[in-house]
Amino acid sequence: MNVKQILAVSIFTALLWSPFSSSAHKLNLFVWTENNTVTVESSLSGGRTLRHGTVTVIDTASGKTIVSGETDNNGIFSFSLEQEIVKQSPTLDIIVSGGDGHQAHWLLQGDEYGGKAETQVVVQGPPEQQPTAQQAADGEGLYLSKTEFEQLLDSLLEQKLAPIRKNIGLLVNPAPSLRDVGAGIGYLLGCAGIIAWFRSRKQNNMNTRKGEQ
Amino acid sequence: MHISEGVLTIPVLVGGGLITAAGTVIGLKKIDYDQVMTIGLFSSAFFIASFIHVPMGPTSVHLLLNGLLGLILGWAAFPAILAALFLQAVLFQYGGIIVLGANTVIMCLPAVIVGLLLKPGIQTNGKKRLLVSFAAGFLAVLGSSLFMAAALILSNEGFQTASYLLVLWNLPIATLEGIITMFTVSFLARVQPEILAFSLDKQS
Repeated sequence: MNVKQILAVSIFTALLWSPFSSSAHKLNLFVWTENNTVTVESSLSGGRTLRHGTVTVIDTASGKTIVSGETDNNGIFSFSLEQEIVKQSPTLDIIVSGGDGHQAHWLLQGDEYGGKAETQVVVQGPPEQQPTAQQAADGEGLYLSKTEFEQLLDSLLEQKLAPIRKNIGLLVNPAPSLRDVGAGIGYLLGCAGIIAWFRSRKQNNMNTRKGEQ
Repeated sequence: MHISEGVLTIPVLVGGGLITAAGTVIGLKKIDYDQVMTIGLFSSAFFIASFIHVPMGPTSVHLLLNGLLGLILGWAAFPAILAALFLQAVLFQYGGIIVLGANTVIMCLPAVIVGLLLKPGIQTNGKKRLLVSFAAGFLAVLGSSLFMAAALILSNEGFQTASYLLVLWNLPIATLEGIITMFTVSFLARVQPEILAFSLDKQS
């Protein structure tokens, strides 16, 4: 390998490793909630995470921006919702922008975060099931109201479901499959073939008419 | 290099749509029926090139091949790229239908301009052909990033800084594209030289 070849390979490799090289087609976005904490994860097609992408959260009911920020080096941005927003439970429009023409939206419905109407029903248990003062102090036999129990259950479920929701989000934005790419090529060549066939048929008909004349 | 929906303003979208429509009409008028399959093949090549990501280090790059299409097909690159972008939007949600016109202009118009200017150069032999092919690939991507930056600046001043950076970011990709266009044209000249005469013979 001579000097020119080494130089060419070096330049090519340097270009590929350049931190400035970036190109993508699409911004993938996934949002999941855990209690009242919303986590936004974004990535570019090709698998790269979106670093320092701008995140804007808009309350669709009032049209106001309630949260804004930037994704970290892992493409993640988390924020806690204020109690007032949680009570109103509006649909939130979460917009992530890569700043280079790439933008993605995610609509977070009110019932997807902790904004459930609080029930005031408190179930009182029979006196014999009430914990004694000593048991309550030890946390044993603790008696919960229906609301407290629902909140505790919601909280535990949110924790357990968060990774599952994240995986579902990954399925929402699948990478292009070989079948889809093949289908695209098929469409292009198929359409070209049909056009060519029609036009050649037209040309043949014209030639035939000329021959007859 | 696909702008997403919701980013560009209506005047930019309408302008992009009109230019694309005009370019496509010109392209279709210049196509002879025996060229349709060649255009279909190049359209497929453009369609596939966008999926070839090269993961390297902390980043990844992908090809455009718009310079190659502009160089070989001339105005016919408009319908070829439009069809490929339409399928990418429908099948993979790259870009989008509303922004299809603007995306086509961004990727196609610089390629057509570069192609029309440099087309005679690929008919020569040796180093001049290599240089012209490299320039076509390089300038088409650079032109596309400039057009993209202009579209973003016209749509929202907030994109201005990012738009300037966008041009810089695309310099390495433009260089890569130039190298790949150079090798592709060189290969075509050896195995199927009639393709290089495609646009000169039929369209000028």
